[in-house]
Amino acid sequence: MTTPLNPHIFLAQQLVISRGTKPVTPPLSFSINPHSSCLIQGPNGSGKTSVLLALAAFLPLSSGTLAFHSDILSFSRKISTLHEEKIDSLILHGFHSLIAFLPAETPFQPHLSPLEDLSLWHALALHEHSHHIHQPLASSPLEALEILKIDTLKHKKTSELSSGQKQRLALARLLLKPAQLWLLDEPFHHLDNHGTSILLSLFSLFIKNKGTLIYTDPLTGPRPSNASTHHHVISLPPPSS
Amino acid sequence: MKTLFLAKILFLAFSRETLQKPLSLLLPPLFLLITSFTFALALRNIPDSLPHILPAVLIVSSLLAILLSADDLFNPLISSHTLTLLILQPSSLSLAITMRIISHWTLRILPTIILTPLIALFFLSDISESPLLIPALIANSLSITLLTAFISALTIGLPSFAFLATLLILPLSTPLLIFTLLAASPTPSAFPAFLSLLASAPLLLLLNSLFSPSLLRISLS
Repeated sequence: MTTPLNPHIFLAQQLVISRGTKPVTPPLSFSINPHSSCLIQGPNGSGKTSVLLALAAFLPLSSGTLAFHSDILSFSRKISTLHEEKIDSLILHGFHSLIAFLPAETPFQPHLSPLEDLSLWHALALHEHSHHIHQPLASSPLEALEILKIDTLKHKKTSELSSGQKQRLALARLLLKPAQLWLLDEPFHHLDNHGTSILLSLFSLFIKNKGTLIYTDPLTGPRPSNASTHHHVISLPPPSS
Repeated sequence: MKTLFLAKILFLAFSRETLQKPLSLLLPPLFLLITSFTFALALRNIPDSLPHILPAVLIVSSLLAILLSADDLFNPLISSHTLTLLILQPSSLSLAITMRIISHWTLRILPTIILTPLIALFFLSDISESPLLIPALIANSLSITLLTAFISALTIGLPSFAFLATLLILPLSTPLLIFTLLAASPTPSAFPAFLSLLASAPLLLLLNSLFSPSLLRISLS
């Protein structure tokens, strides 16, 4: 007898996310399938980043439930009667090691060159090989730089790179982590047409490698060449004043 | 072996970051020099008292010098989103934080101790009379840096955290200051006091590696 596969990687019911005491989203119910992509869409201030941070367990829920299910790890988050949410730290650590995350503001260490920066994150990402079913998309820092077409800048100081080049470096970091889930906050920010097309091809490669992709984009409507890659859209209403 | 390798690259990366700001590196030693010199100048008419107050002046000035640079400990990690990425790595966050503290202490705090013989000259003091003065200052600075790191991790998510952190660090560091003062004095109780001071560093290191990662995680939300 085979056990039925759970079709959802994330299942949210009546999920409300707050920053401080103020709720930033209306109650949200959605499900995200594994090996697919999901776009979180909405105008500025609608809470896209908050939803992404809550999915990454960086923000606590203020009501509702959020379940995560994968072949490695499953857990469910809900608010108890005490309005306090407790997640076991080992589960959280295991969950976090499945994620590659791209923050909205490009993280960079201005004192390192792109190659040194990627070598550092590469070493940290490959520390334990306990459950790496997912292969990283690039096997070495140099390969990641080549994929993003910034290998000519590898010895430059990161502080001398342009915004678009820094964004490409931040994206190159994603390729080095054996992640099951990509949570990307505005990944197209600062990218030119060429960068956008590289990123879109990385999206389809990641999904083909059994990855699940969740990203935010402030533009409404799909990007022209992007129509086929996202399978699910969560649309957030404009913020109430 | 892997942990040692990671510790090394984390230490080098954090040290590179610190060395990029040479002016901020000069601040703690310069501060120590100015405060000690002011004391020596104020008491120049009673030169006999100068050697007696040297340890106290050094201890208090180095405490203030550590507080002065406390902001550089975790704040840059949070503002550059490095902490977010460190949390998401499978390797231990506690190792990264420990290396951050050690690199901070080695580059910013330890150099202030090198100035001790020079400051002893202002104070007409012969430091060979209290051989434990410099080891006690080194142990004291490490323990206070570890205490500062723990309190910073505890308060960094709160509004006006710098004020709160100082408010907590000053009373909590008092026992350390008393032990350092005892260890630096030329009395028979100096050695036991020095050993107690030395024992505080591993305890505070344990406290940091157990709790600071969770505290910093909480500060992000």
